[in-house]
Amino acid sequence: MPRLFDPLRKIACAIAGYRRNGRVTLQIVGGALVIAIATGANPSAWHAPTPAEGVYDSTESTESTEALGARFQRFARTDLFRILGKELHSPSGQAMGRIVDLLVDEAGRPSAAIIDFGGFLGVGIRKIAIDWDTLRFDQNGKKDAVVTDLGRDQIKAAPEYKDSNDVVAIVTAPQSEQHGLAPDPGW
Amino acid sequence: MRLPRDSNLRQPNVTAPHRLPGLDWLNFFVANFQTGFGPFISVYLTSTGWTQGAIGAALSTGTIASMASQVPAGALVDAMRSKRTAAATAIAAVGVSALAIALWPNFLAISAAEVVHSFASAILGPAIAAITLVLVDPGAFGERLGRNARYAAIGNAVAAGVMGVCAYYLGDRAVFLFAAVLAIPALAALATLREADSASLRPSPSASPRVRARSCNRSWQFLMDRRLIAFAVCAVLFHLANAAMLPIAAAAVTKRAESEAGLIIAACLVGPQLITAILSPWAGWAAETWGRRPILLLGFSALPIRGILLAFATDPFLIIAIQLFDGLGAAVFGVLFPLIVADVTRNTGHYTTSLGLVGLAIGGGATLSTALAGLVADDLGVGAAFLSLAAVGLIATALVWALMPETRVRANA
Repeated sequence: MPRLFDPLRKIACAIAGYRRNGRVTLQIVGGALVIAIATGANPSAWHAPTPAEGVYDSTESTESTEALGARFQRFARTDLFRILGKELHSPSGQAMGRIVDLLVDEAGRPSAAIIDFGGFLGVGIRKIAIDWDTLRFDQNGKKDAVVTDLGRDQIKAAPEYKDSNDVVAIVTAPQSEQHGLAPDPGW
Repeated sequence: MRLPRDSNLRQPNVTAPHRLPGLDWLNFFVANFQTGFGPFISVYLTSTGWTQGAIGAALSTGTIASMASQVPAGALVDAMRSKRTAAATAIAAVGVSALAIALWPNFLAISAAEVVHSFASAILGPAIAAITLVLVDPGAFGERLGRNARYAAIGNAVAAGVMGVCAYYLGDRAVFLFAAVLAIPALAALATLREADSASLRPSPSASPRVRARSCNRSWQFLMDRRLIAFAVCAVLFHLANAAMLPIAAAAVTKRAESEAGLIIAACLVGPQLITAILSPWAGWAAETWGRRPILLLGFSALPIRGILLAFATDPFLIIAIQLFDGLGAAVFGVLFPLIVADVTRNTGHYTTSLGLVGLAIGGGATLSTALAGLVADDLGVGAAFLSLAAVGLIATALVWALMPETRVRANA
């Protein structure tokens, strides 16, 4: 449901932001749009990462502004990208599925990406959790695909990810033992 | 529609069933553009960055809208004098919703498109059946429905292939643009069926002003028709057993097959359509010649056989072969659903309302099927899920045998 309100909120906030501080809104570009506008809507809820936290990178593509008691950091569109809906590829470039959700641990660190695996025209798709550590995002500067070290055969036999289950089986690379496969639940 | 010239039921006079190429193409193109609206829509929304919760909400909106619109849409088609106008409006609405899905993948537009598409589809099926009823003589109706089902099946098969290629080479959005474009040839095919409007001016089983003028209490008595209720119950169980079989079998193929899994699933989709295309005209002919009951029993009995075979099959290529039984069930149900409802509602003026009523039953059965079979598959395994579906199919077949009377009415009776 949050999707329903997103466009409306964006518009409302953009108008409000423009009326309060036209300069700031006009400078907002590309990928920073959502972040900066959300800040305008609810300044107390947004804590911009400081340079000490290591997220802020003082290259030419970013800049920092203070307004209305909040800090805005701007990133070039090419430095940030969305992850939901991104295609997952094998090292050989074979399409493995799309990332549809993320799992994080108690500290908020990503543990696994849920992918839609297999199927034809949406029939026969299985949701499978893939170890976050097997994912690579720096494929020659190409940001429209994520690469996993796992092969197709390693993923296809995994038990399906279900939101309701107590145990989540995360497919992980054979050499790393941190997650391991849960017992196959009768498949 | 009891005209003197109808006395020889093997020689239809209004229009011979094989002389309506416009109706062939209408069924072909409608099946074509409807294919994209299946499970593929969630693939497309995923690729545009939608969250799973939002996809579920939008698609559930569509499912609820579809169930809610079956009976009102059927009643609307009954009330409209020109079934062609109803069908044309519905085709245009489906085209617009496909275009909206392709161009504006945000929650509001997609939900609205889902609702519009659901209502338009609920109009389109009954409207095409009503147009067919108007265009051919009662004695030739079964055969013509068989031909309709044949072209719809070919349309489904071709669309699955073309849209698969489209999605692979041009991207997911192209599938919906393609579907939107297909509304144009569908409208053109519909435009050639001019006789449908002039013919509907005669008193016909689907639209009879005299019948509609009766008191409300009296005119809704068709709902109490034992044959209609029996058929609706059988239809619920048929789809309760049928709907989940393909998705579960396809997921099993994804798990077991090598890199060609996608092609095997494609074969599981297209193979049964080809069988349906081959068998449908025969099913229509046989239902007119031997009666509805034996053919209905034959089609329903394919369900338990398929369920039991799928429960024990592990080889992906064997699954393709077993899925061909789906084609037999689909051919029989696709032809006999509009045919039996036409038998039962003859001269009541409630043909498409009754189609909507059974459509609601079908939708309920299909929705429950995937939900319940999914639960069984999670807890007890895929084999148990297939066996449960087979058991439901067996009960459905037994109910046809026990409850369904022969509904065939001889034209000169």
